[in-house]
Amino acid sequence: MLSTSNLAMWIILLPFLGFLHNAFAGLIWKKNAKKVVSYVAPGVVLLAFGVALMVVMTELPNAHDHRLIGALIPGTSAATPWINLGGMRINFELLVDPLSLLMAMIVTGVGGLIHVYATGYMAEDPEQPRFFTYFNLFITMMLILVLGGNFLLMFVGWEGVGTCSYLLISFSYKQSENAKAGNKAFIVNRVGDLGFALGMMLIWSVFGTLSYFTNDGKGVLQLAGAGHAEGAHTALHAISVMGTPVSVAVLTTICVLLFVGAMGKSAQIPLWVWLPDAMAGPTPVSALIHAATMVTSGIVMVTRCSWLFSQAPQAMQLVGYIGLATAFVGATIGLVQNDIKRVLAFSTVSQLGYMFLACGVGNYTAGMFHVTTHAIFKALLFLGSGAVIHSMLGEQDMRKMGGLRKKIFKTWLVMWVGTYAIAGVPGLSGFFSKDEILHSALSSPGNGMFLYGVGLAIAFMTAFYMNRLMHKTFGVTAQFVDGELPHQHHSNFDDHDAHGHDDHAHGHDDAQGVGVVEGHGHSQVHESPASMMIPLYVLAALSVVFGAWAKMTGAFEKFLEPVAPHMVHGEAPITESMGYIISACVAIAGLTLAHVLYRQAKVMERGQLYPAETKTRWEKNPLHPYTFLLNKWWWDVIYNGIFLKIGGIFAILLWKVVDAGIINGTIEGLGWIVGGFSRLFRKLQTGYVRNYALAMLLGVLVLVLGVLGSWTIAAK
Amino acid sequence: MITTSHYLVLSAILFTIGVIGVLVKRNPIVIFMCVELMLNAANLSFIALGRHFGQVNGQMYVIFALAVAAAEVSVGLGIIVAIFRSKETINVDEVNLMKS
Repeated sequence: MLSTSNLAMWIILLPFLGFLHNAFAGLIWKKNAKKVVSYVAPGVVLLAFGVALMVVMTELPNAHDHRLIGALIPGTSAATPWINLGGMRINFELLVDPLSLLMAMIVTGVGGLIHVYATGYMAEDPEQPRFFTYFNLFITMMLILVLGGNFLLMFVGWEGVGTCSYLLISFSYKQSENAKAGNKAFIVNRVGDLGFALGMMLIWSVFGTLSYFTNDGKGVLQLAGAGHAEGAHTALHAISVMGTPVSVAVLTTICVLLFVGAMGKSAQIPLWVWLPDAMAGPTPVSALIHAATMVTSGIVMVTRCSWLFSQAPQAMQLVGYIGLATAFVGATIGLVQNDIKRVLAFSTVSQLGYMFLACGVGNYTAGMFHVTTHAIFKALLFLGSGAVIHSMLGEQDMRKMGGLRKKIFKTWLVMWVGTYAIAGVPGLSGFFSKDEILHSALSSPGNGMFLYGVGLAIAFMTAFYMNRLMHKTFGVTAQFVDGELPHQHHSNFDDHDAHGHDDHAHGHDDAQGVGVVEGHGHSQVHESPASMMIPLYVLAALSVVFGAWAKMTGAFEKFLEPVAPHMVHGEAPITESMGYIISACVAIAGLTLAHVLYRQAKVMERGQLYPAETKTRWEKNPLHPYTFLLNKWWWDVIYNGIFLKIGGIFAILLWKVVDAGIINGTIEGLGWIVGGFSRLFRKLQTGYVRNYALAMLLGVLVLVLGVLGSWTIAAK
Repeated sequence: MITTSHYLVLSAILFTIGVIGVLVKRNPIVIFMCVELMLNAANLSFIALGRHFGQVNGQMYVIFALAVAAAEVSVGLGIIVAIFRSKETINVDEVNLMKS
């Protein structure tokens, strides 16, 4: 019998109430809507964080087997059916266990901080209530995704976050690139969602249920984990349903299909192309959805299904290799990008690859550890870059920045912490989580050295491109004229926004009185308001201490132990402390290389290391490494060729030949045949009375002869 | 001896003449006359058969038919006059309004 949780539903319902409030804020509060929304939207999310903490503190320790079931709707029980059709029964149930609570805390905690930040970032946008409506809805959907007690509820959240992502990427929909980027994200995700849906159907047909855990012990994960409970932690065992064993081929198919879903949502090769374009959304969106939470849902799902994946070694291998390839490709592209948010986007792609690598080699806990630390430091980096962009009045091109360290010192400081955390400088969060992944990769039998080597190369590149970003943004001589920056904040109300921002910028400088004002107070570059800086400080502090705390006390592994099997098979050839030293050396080498290259006198002036960073003849050669990487391995171009060009030709074929020719031709042909007969018979209708009279006469004759004939026959 | 069969044969001949007249004539007046011929052929067979069966019903129906035929002729002639007024002709070949 599973324990029940009464509080868990409120983690989801609070943001949902916030969503409803924000959607109707304009009706309720009229002109004060923006002000009220800026308190309600972060408030509900932080309250939900409080509830999640309460569940962890009070309900979880008392739960049998670290697992609780809760209802989604107040006043009902977890057994309240949502769909009850011909043997298919799906309940409004929540699964509260360490994994879902960890994710709930990340989503509401990091999400809450980003909400606070967004109140500052979006303060001048006239459509701020719309923004927070989507934002709270996103949090609701994400929580349904992680807390849902069956695959279908997860799918609801899965689609819900996809929708919110689409809505937020194209938030400033009047710029058509934003709308296109939103479309791209949505359409690419459809491909993945198809995989998820098919996997779900297969699970249904094999296991006969979609619930993870049920009271009668027939939930999918209960069946899948049945062998593990007996202590066989590393050995494969047969999963059986009602006494019938499930073949490994079927399990592998299920896992691969689910992983296709994860590829879409978590931006893995080959479905990763949407994530860099998703940076078209406002920066808080990039931080919350496209770095900290939504894109990690693929890893969460794989970890949730780890009992299944553990039994399908080939699927695990696929996960690991796809993750590694994605991490590598993402990191190489990140080396040369010039848009500050794009560098971070490719870094996200790369780090997500790391997480999948961890899942692929069987160390799900390490994957979730990296999810957690990554959520913290990547949110920090994105929000920091947002502060930079905010300071630069919307400029995102690093080639036009430079020299910002003195002007926005506090932002520099937190960005610096984030950079060192992601690069893996010893002692910071990223160091511990990344090293754990690399160490498990090395332990993987057979291909361990290969995985480890590539992983180290990626870590080196990560350190390099992050320090490059810092130098180009904050270090080199300023590449712009302060006071003559154009307003470039995206908004659907350009004029209004520009004015609003101007007032804000000056008013703010006066209010804070920090030393960013140069000369006669015409400086436009300004430190961001407190609502934006405080979340940055919190995240920076967490980036420093969280990894060390979790690793030293072992709290994280202990917390997650009941949900994720540790499936690393082999033994690593080096000890863990040896691994720490190697990782640290690699990280420092990467940072130093970038430091040396970007500190050269000439570079100091222009901020451009490579000649091609200014437009030159290099750009003409498509296979030149720089051009190759700048254009993302020509990935988009190839996809355009395959799916848009060839797909377009195929579509035209279907349209002109199949639809217009065959289908339409058949239908019109039928009509034409009927019409032909009509034309033939129309000749009978002459309009002359005597013709009709003749017809009548003939009819009468036939009748009379018929009657006479039948009499004659009857007489015989 | 003139038997009932003779009457019926005469009636059939008259009816056939009437039908042919209706079918081949173009003048509505003549067509009317032919229609009357057909009616009267029918009347003749009514009377002949009434006599044959010794019943009065046959003659009674003929009286009815004559009355109805008179009324019908007046309506028909009225229609012909109306057609002539609107089309300046009464040639039935030119009155083919039934052809859409």
